[in-house]
Amino acid sequence: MSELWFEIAENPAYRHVLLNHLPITGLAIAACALAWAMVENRWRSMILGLSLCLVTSASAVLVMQSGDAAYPFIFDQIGGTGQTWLDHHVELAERWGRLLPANAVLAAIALATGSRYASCRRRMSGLVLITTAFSLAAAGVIAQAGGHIRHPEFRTAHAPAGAGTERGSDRSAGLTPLPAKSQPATLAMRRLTKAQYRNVMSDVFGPGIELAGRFEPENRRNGLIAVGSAQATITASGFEQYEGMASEVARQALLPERRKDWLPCIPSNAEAADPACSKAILEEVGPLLLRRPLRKSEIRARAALADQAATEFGNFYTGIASTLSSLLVAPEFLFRLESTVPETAQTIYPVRLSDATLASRLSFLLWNSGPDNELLEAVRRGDLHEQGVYAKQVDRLLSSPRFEQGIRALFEDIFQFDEFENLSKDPIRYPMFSARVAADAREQTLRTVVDHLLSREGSYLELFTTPHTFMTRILGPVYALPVRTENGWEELKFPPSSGRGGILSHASFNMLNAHSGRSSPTLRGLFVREALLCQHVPPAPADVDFGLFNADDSPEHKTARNRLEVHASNATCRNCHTLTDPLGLGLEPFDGMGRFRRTENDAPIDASGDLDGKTFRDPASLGIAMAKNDRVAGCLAERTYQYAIGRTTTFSERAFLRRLEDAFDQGGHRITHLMREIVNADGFQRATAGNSMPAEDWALREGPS
Amino acid sequence: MSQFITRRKLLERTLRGSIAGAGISLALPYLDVFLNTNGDALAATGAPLPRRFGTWFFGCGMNPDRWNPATEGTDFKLPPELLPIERVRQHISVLSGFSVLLAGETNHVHRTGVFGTMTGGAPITTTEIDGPTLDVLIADTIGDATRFRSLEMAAHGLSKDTYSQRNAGAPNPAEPSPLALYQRVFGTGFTDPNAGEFTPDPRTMLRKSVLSVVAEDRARLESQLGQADRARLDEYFTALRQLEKQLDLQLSEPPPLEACLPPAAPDSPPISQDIEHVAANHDLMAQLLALALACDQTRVFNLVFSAGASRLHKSGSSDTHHTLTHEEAKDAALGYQPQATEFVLRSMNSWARFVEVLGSVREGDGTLLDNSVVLCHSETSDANSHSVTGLPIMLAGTAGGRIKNGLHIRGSGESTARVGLTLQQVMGRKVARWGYRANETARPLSELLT
Repeated sequence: MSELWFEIAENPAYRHVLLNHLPITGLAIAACALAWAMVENRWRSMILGLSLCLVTSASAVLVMQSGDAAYPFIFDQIGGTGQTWLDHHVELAERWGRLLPANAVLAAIALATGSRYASCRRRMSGLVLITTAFSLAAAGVIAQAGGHIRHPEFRTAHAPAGAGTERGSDRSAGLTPLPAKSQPATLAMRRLTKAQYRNVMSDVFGPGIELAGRFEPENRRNGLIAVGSAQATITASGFEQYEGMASEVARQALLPERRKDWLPCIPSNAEAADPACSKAILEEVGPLLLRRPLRKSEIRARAALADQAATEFGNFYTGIASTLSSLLVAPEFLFRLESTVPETAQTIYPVRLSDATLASRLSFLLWNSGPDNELLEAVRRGDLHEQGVYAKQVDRLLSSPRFEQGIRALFEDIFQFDEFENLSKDPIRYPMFSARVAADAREQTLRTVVDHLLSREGSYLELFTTPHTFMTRILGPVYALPVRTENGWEELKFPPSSGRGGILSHASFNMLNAHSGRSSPTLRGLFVREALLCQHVPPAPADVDFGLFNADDSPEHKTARNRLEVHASNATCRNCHTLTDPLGLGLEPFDGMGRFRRTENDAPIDASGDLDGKTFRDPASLGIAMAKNDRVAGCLAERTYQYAIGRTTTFSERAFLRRLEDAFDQGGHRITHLMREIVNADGFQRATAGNSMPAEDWALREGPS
Repeated sequence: MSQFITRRKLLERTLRGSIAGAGISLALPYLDVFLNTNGDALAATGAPLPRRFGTWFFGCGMNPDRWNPATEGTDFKLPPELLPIERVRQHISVLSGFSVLLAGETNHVHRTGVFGTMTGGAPITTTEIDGPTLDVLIADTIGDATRFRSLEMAAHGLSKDTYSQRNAGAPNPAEPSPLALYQRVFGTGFTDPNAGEFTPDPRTMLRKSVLSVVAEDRARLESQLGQADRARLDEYFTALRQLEKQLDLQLSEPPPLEACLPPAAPDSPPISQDIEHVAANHDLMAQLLALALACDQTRVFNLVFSAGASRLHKSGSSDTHHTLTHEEAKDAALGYQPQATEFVLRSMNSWARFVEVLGSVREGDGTLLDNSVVLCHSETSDANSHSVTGLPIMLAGTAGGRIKNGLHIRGSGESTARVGLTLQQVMGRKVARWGYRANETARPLSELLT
């Protein structure tokens, strides 16, 4: 009993579900009572009917209050379609829900007037009966949408498209902050990814440094390594690898032919310590590696290490190598630690990020590498956050050739291309497959993305339809297309007869989202839903009856469509597979490594289907349906924002996400436009709560000690 | 002594030949010159022989009615899917009928079973996984004395799925190939305990100084961070401390170890999910691991034969073990899925091979296996229905005479946390209760203890 009370008192969702029957079932009973009273024409019965109408209609206020309070918790717990239904439910409630309290007021007026003037009793009761009927209809419509939130078995229709667009912005205005426990940390501590490590090495020591070692496996959360890296740690065996890698990088960086390009000084005697030179080196590379100016004490400690080692080993470069190692294994190198400064304002992001944090956010988002000297100079001056300086730096970063590196990293993360490292195919079924083919397929898609989005300044949506792509000779046989260039890349257009168009028809996605020995419509559909449409597809229930499944080797089920029929005919399977399979079957003309085929086991492949109401008949028209799908652009905007800030967004940021999506739409879905919107957003430059370290005055000649 | 060195060199050469070749069985002879008269201690230090703990994981379970022995006790008949362990059955105790108790939690397919056994709690979501895994807890107790706190290996070549972690944000990554395992253990940084002369490497001192400069930042950084991130930074510094200890060990002369014979670099078969490659890589890893243990480089290990939802496949097949468990029709006459079951038998065969390899290294008056205990487990029993009831569990080795082998114990639906608790206590961890929520237990398996 006490548990029940606790649920009622503490859990608004529970209260909502408990009470929501009153304005529906209760009101229906009240209406019957009132109707009977009018037939009877007795005032005492009418009092009962009117009172019931009053109480049950008024209870809608409690229902709506508890529903409002439950929204953020429920929203975070449910995925994809459920969220859409929830938004639709709230939108309906906000539009029609007001009828119920109005009905309660009317019933109260009827009671008051009826008790004084006998003449208007019947008329007033009749009026209340009519409004009650409308209220009941409204409550029914709202509840019907509500039932779909948690009960996929009721979802016979498609989720309403674009539900809640306006609601988001209304809601955030008067929003009460979430309880502290559900507030995620807004400052991230992100582990450097392998690509970021490599990019920084190349920026600081020149291209071509080999990273000899194994990185910690990447941690993907909510579809992004950028988000997972903010939860990832470093294990003992991982640290061992970082340490080995650091000394190997230092060794390569200090090879005579390489060091002349980056060392700011030459030691007076290469066989002894040279304190002035080691200090100069630290002042040069220290900030580039730790992504902030170095304190005097830090330079002192690390220069001392270098000088001591140089004296002991009689070699200046041994000393420098050890001090480089100490930077490369430092937590501030391996993790990107964010900090804020105590400068507050009245927004939902009250505190400002420190300039050093802002510089890192910018450079990692746009270049996937650490801040360069010019950004660090602004950090040192302490004016990066000032509008003019910031805008100039944003322009500079966006127009740099390194922006391509940033765009590649973003799409590698969204497309989950890190999985290429684990990709293998059965050599008997796919003799054409090799590590080279896989690497080229991956590169092909990234080249197409960069070419389309940056060189052509094309719309993101057109990526799903563009016939323009790039090819190497080794990819030629996979696509059954002639490639003239012997070595390197050749630009070409998919001919209409090739059955291809848009990036989803590339070999990369189709080999990645397949089994080692065959294609998989379910995996492909799952990828598109989760990675490109930001929908959540629930995992299969544990106790599925697989006896229903049509086995791969059964002679009467030649194509995947036949074999997957059970997913569509069985109610349990259908709930989720209706999201994945019809979509994935549209890619069935590509086998498990992405080669085009018209038949499977000699039976013709039917690749037709529909994607959220848009029909398609083959992979190329599936691309067109993707380009027309109204979730695609919003999904990229949301993912890119989360990628930039290293965490999932909160309920209070939903209004911002809608605005971001609108801005992306208005900007013609240009990626540069989206990036500019993001880096100018409050959520990128500020935080809800911070660690507010006192701002360090780097501008002092040698930095604070 | 000189006579010994000659003999040792000779053996070393024989061994090198065998590992570098196709991975034929090791028959490591022992050299009793280092044993005291009781034959149970290292003569040089008088310290008892180390005790080791390991896990051996295989994906996609078994067919319960063909795997679970019918009778309890010692003289049980091996059911069809356990027949591959016949040759080592005296070193193995079979535990059937132990389960991960869901008690309202969702069965997250292919994760709940393995993390339930490893952490003593059914995961709440696929990423909300309880406390450190069993092996990490044991490594915290016995892992400090060796160069590596633990070693992780993946015969199937994917680093990520080791089911060993301090927290869910970072699985302890596995060595994905025999060569990687070799380089980690016997490459740079390995000191042969029997080398005779020992001179500490001044570069090791330098590496230590590098780490101590880094460690100075700790207090300043921690003050900047929120609770969750501070815990992550702590893990970083724990890792750093572990490397410092490793370097300390390299600076002092290791006590001689009779069974330690450093091998030459192995030739790795291709890394893939092809069952033949996986089995061959597994055998090489088992041999390298046996030598790493004999050389006391680690006392805790996790070997993953195939991951949960195993992607192992036969050459030329369009199916993987996992897809077969769901999609292959049961053979009406046999009553099980014949192709999927083949993978169960292959897994059991490799497990038997693993036990055999550890048992082939003589140590004291017994073998390496006698001084170890290895937990063999899977994430499901019946993989077709993702069942976490009656998981297949085996223990090999006696942990230095503390555990009975050759038994079959039936758990009748009790939590696998009882197995985890027993293992922690056997390995010297002071713990009376273990597990989370419905799986929490204070009852070790006393019938298993000697």
